[in-house]
Amino acid sequence: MLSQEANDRITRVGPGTPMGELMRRYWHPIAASADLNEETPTKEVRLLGEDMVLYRDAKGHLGCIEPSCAHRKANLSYGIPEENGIRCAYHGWVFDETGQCVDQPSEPEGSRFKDKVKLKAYPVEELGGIIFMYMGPQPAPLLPRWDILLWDNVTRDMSSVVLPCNWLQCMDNSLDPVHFQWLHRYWGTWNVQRKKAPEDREDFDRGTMSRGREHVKVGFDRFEYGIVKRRLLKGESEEDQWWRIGHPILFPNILRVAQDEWHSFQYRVPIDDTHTWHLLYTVRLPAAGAEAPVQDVIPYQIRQLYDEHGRLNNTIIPSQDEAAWVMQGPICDRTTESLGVTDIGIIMYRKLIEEQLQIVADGGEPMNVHRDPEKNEGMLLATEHTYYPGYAEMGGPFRDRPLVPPQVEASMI
Amino acid sequence: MLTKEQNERITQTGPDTPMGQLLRRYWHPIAPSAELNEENPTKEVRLLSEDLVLFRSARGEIGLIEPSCPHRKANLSYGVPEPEGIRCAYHGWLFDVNGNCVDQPSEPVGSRFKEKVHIKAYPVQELAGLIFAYLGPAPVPILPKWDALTWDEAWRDMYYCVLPCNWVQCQENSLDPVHFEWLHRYWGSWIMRRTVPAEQREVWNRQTFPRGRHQLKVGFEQFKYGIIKRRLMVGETEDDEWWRIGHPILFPNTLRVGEAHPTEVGHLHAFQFRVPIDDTHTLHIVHRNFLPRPGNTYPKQDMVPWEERPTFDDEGRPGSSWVVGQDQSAWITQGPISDRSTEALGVTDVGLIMFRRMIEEQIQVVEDGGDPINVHRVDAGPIPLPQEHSYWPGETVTGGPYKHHQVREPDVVAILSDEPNVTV
Repeated sequence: MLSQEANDRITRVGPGTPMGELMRRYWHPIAASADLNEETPTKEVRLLGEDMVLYRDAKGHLGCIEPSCAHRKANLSYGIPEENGIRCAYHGWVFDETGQCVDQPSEPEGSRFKDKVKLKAYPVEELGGIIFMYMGPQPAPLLPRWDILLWDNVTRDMSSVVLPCNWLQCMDNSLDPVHFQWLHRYWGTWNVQRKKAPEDREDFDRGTMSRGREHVKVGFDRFEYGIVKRRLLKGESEEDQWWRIGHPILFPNILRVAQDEWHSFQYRVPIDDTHTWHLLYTVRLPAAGAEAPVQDVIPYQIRQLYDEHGRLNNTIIPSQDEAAWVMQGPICDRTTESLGVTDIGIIMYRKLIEEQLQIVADGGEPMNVHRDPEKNEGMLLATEHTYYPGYAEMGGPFRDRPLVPPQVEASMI
Repeated sequence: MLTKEQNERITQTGPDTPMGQLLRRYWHPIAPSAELNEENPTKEVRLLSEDLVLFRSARGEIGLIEPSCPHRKANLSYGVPEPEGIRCAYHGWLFDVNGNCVDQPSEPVGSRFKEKVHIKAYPVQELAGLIFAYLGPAPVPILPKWDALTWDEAWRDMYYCVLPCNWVQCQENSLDPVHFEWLHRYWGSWIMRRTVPAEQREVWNRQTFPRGRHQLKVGFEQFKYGIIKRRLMVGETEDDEWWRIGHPILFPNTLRVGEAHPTEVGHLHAFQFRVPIDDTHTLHIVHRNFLPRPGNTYPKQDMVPWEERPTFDDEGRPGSSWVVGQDQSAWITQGPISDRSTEALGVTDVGLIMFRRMIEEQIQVVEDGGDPINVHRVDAGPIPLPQEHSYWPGETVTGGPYKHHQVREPDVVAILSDEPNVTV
């Protein structure tokens, strides 16, 4: 249970708030590369409570600038992409990716007015089919080049949905392995059996029969990039990869989760205090020895949150998670929650947030901010029961990791 | 005219308001029983400004509980019904109809944590196909068994509309018989002539002709359960049941009304419940009980059918092609909360002035620690209510238990015409 002040402190992300300042030390996805093309060269985006316009200019360069033209405030998302930036629809002023006004075609020849006109702009970079933005202080850290964003000979796909809730309740879920047994296997199965024909349930059953089994204990470890969560399922020994390897939560707002031949990131991007852009990014390995087909564009789908009755969709695993987060309310009221032993991971995570808030308040650099280009290249993340390129066995380079007890653990029996 | 403060006082519904406290002394219908079924075992409801979740357990028990699971605050309307109660979607905590946490399946065996966990729960009862809830203090009063709700031979159905306005303006309409002449017969006919072909207006004509006639006087008398309203229409005497018997407004928010004309379907005894969702929304339930015509019977009903009727038409205007739709149109056009600080009441409004005084009086009764009017503590069986020009089970003449009711001078009366023979 938190006080109202503590709940506000760790959930609110606008400029000038403690959590907003911490969040601004990280690169965040704001669009799929496929979002911007010749037909749709701009996108209105909102990140950490700030409205921006993302565009791709005629040379293919990305820019992200404040939405209102400095002249008479027309929205630049209606602008025309040009060689040197985006041209406002109303009177033709042009802005480049630094926000600098570089053309005012109807001001007198020789006028230097434009040199004085500059809009807010943030750096953007593209990697693995995602466009990322950094809104924090300079110098900007490196965009983390995680393993799966770089792998070739894989098949990628993406999907997303905008959730009417705060980002932190999405993360709480990832620090709470036991929800899998209930939200997915029990409740999810109840829904799936009512709504899907038996022959359409295979994927769902496969997903829930693995980690949805009865939990004996859960464990958590802090590591360089965040927290690793582990679970011991009934009928297994501690040598099993679910317990020995687990999978990571990347501070502050990313889940890495994998199974068999696929790896994924779930980015819980704070749009503002009460909205989250949930981006699912999946990478599939081809069968051993096979070549994945070449992808010109990574397929990208917008998922629907609600069904035709206005109720939350609940027949696939990610939708069940999203339903849980949304049904906790716009900002989960943690002043009246009742945490049990299953929630020790959440408590560990909240302590980690508080600690990192303090580091930023003291002028330091929080965890999982990257500045060493060599170390940043292809950072490998450990996930249990998953294949890695170049390895025949599940767990890949981590398969022989020795069994060590977790830093914290809780028993369910 | 009321001051802004007086208007707020009678229209507020929240738990910390005088009127909210008075309203909490009564049972309120919140949903049709049949709306909770295997496919949809839960419903998010809002009653008297409180958000709640209604559910039917796998054993058939109905519960009304606060919406958020106390564990991590997930909404229980997504829960799974089980024999003992409702199980939260997120981590499987189970709550019974009394709000007790009876299972926390992933807490360690032997943990007594669940015994400390309770959520708000309110009593509910089913009657005549409706689920009623009581949000007030203990001891819980008896759910009144109004006569028509108990008749075995009746055939029932209901519909409801969610209205974007305060409940008091719905109820004031029932204390104002004259609106029938204008809102229904005059404006309603104008609407109907333009929107409904002549051959489809038969029901309409049957419903509006009798009581839509010109009214010579209206009268109101306070009785045990609320107010009885009476009207004398052109061409009738004071012996007519419209004047001698009338029909009741049950305090605080229910109208009992018939159709005053036997139809081929049967004899209608209807209730209109104006249930306060919050200060600016009302759940209007029209619950109909039909008695078979003499010699006929209805098939037994396994469940009372219901529908949610759209409040607005395809153009976004309040639906006004039936009598109750016209009433609802009037209430909605008065605004979310009618501004009674700028109204101008005339002689036709004596009934609603009486009603407002009664509200003030009953707020005072509750503030003084008493039981307000129409709160029942003894179960005396079915309670007969007056309703003019209507048939009762086993009766071949109208008036039922009130057929010999002697006319008395109403408590307040308004003379609307000094020409008793006026024709329209």
